[in-house]
Amino acid sequence: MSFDASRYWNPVLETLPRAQLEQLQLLKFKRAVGHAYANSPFYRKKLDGAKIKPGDIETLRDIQKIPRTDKDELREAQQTEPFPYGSLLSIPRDDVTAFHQTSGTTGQAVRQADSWRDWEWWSECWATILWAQGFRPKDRVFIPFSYGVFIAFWAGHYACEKIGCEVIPGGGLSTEDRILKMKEIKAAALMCTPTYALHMAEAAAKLGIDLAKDLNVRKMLCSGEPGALIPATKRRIEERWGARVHDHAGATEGGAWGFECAEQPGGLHVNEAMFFLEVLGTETGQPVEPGVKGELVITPLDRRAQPYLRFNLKDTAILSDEPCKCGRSFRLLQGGVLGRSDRLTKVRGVLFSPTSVEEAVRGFPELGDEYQVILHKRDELDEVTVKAEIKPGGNRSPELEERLRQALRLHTGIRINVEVEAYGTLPRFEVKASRFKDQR
Amino acid sequence: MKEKLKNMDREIKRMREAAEDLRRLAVEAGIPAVIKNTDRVLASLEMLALNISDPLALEERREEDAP
Repeated sequence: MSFDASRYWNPVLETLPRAQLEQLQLLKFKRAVGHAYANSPFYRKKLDGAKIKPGDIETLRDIQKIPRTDKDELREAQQTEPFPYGSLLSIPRDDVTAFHQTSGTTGQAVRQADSWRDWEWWSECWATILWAQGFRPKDRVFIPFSYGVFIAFWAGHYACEKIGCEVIPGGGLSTEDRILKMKEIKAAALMCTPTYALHMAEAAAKLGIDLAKDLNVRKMLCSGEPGALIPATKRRIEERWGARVHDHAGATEGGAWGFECAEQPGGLHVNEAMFFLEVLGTETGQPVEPGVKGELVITPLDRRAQPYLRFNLKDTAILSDEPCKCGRSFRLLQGGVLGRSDRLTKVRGVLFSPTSVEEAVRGFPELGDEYQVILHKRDELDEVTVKAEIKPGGNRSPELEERLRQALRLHTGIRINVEVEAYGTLPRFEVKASRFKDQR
Repeated sequence: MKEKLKNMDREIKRMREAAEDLRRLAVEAGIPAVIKNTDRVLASLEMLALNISDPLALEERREEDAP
């Protein structure tokens, strides 16, 4: 068998029996705590404050003793020396080879230091993902990404090189130029946000290009937002591009931790050889059983320059104990990342997640890809209004609005006002979309 | 498979020792080109250790602990 016929990037790690995988996690977690305690002034203080010493971690259950880390703590720690990483920096300053930062969508961006060693780790994690999604040597991969300070697809680029793909950096081009470049060089694969995949499809239509027929892209990795595992969104992207779409979840602090494999099991595998992921009750902070929605807390087990222990991702998900047909022992998150816990809000006493709107809106073939969710007050009562767009050439009608209203009620459990607007009236996004507005 | 992993692990350790020796010599001679290229080699070797040596060490420890 040639090596590229292997289903796994590393069969040793990806098919480890569960018991051994958990032993490996414990071994690595102890090592991560030891490194953080010895080298990170931030974690030394935090662990001392909680009266925890590295030797106190003897079982996976003991991990619960370590207090969680929030993004606000990171922002505060970065106000201290050494500039610009503050007390989070855990290696000599001379060993830092890369600066990146978070997207800043939830406030002040967090700066991230990486050494060359950590950069190898990033691309190793990404290589596991890309290989699982069918990326192989010689694939010509186009990356339509700005190549700026936001970490986004940087590590994906390096992982493609590691695998042996041919990478085309699509930075510094307009959307139209990117489409034309992909057509010209016959790109076979692509990675971008789901929002941008749909945006490019819209731009291609204006150029008279049918992405599914005129381009050669047959596999796509979508990341940065949950869309690629929202069935209606995945379907839209796959139809427009004529390609198989796979989801990936990651974070600047957490690393590239989750991926949908080529089997498209309707969920995300957690790379448990490299990460320890906890699903905790939002109220209790205790691990929840498979099948119960909880908040995600992650520890990248092999990160050294700026390590994280039990970082609150603020994402919500449901752990599954069903095995996947791909044979990996890594567990699945059913339906992937379901939303942001900091965007979960109560509307007239009912818990409402704006992400739940997407499946309803995109389930309507008459509607375009864009939508907005607006929370506001009317006579002191919470109201939700969803604005959507009719497709080019389509007709708005009270009947369509009523059907959308009913679908939204079914998906969210609450009454929602609907406004279907003319095509092209709602804002467009190129990277992460911002479709939710709380005006209360 | 275990024998193959053991052989790979042995080679990883040998390469690491060689890379560390090379780096030491380069530091003594003051040759940045060798120091920095060796740093990259060592980073790659660490990824090999994560892929092979860690799970193997675990397996060997399990065998030692077995009654």
